[in-house]
Amino acid sequence: MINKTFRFSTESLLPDISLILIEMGYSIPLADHYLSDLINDTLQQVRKHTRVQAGFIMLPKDSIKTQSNILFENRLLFEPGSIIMSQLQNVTSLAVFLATLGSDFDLWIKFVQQIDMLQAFVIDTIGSLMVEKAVDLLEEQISMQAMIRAEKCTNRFSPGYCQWLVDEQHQLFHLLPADFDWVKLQPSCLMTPLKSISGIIGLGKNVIKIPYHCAFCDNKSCYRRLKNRKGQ
Amino acid sequence: MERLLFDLSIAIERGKENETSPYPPDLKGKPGAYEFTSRLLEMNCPPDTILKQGMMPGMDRIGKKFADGIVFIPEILIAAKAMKAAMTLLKPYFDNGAVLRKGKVIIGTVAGDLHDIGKNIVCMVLEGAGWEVFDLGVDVTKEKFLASLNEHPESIICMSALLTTTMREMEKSVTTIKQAFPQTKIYLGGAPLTSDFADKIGADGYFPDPHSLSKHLTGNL
Ligand code: B12
Repeated sequence: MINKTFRFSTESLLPDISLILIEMGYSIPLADHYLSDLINDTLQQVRKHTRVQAGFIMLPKDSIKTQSNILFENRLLFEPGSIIMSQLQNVTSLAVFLATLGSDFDLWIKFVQQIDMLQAFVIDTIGSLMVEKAVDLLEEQISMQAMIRAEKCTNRFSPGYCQWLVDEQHQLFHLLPADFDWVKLQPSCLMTPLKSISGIIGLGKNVIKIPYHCAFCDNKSCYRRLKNRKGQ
Repeated sequence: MERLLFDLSIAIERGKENETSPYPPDLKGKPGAYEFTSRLLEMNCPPDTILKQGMMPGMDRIGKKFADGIVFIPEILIAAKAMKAAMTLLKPYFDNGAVLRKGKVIIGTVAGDLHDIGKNIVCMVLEGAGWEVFDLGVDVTKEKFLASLNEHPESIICMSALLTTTMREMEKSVTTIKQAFPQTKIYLGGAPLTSDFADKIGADGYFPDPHSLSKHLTGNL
């Protein structure tokens, strides 16, 4: 089983100011935005509060079967629902991943919140973008592994999205490597540190990666759908 | 006086806290909510009028713009800060009963959930709309809601959750509270919630944003 952990540098995850403003809801033009100075100051401090850890475990070749559910060594592993399953056809292995910014980041937000809610919100937004970026980098690493094995990858999927119940975080956490022990899954399925993302990517020789779009899913209130509608 | 009350409402809406505050940049060096409120008090404007005709309209306008997607969370936070600054001057009048709040609200993010930015925004908007808010924080158990309600039995309850798993915790809390205090109104919010869910678990409503809740609460007075 391939098991890789990365300590991406904070710098490699830092979003630029315009991305942060767009994430907050603003649209172009963004030059000279009144929050730019505050965002800039905050970006300077991020490194002190971040301990990025991102990694994945790749289940053995041919250990996975997919039909209406995901079977691992012929036992039920995940039931992500029909939307995700339609994208996981021909998958024969899975990469199970986790990325986190560490607990200091949460403490930083908590601390600043008592003094300045606006800056706390800026930090919160930066954190969400950074952990998403860490997953982007992980995805690249997983694709590289797939290439070495002459396999292809599906999109990434996370419990809690596209009808996949967040309860299945429990099964996912069972598979994570031991160096993620310090990331805790609460009985409510909330991960601590808060700025964490978990998920899976399917692999296989005959996998077809379909560009993901919201028509696959019927969740009208999902933020990705709302964002796409705004043209962002 | 009328003009000053209007200026105060604009200072709050635009998030101009005081003369030295950096936001919004186009009002740099100009007086803010703090200065307008102290001038109004010097002119013997009744504090209740300052609250209801100066501060609350400002907060109300920015809350509506947020609900309509015209402004975003930062503008709400800046406005709430300006409101808070002005409120410090009114505190003695709240304490001596010269200014009355609309009522009491107990709010918390339900057990198992630690998200609090959304809930904090709701607190700020409700305070700005004239409610006395008791924020129980995050990971609030049904027992904690009940204990607070025992202390302030006339309160409205607001609950927030960000995960579908913690929505289930809401159901338990709503059932427990309604058993002990059937008259207490309970309102819900948070990204994965819906009106259907609120109805199903016996809550009194779901609101997608703080302004729509505030409008509903004021309409019910
Ligand atoms: C940013 C974000 C993240 C960030 C950070 C989360 C954080 N805040 O720390 C990251 C990327 C880390 C993340 C991770 C995950 N996320 Co996420 N995330 C979001 C997102 C896009 C925004 C959340 C946010 O901060 N919003 C800003 C705040 C201000 O908004 P808010 O809390 O909703 O509050 C507003 C309103 O809801 C309302 N409100 C809130 N409470 C109340 C109460 C009352 C009474 C009223 C009237 C109004 C009200 O007023 C507020 C102001 O308008 C939401 C989608 C969305 N549309 O909200 C998903 C969302 C919350 N995430 C979701 C999921 C599933 C996850 C993960 C489990 C995915 C995974 N498997 O890794 C993880 C869990 C993380 C963990 N620690 O366990 C789901 C949760 C639903 C579910 N299925 O359970 C959502 C809803 C996305 C979706 N599928 O639509 N997430």
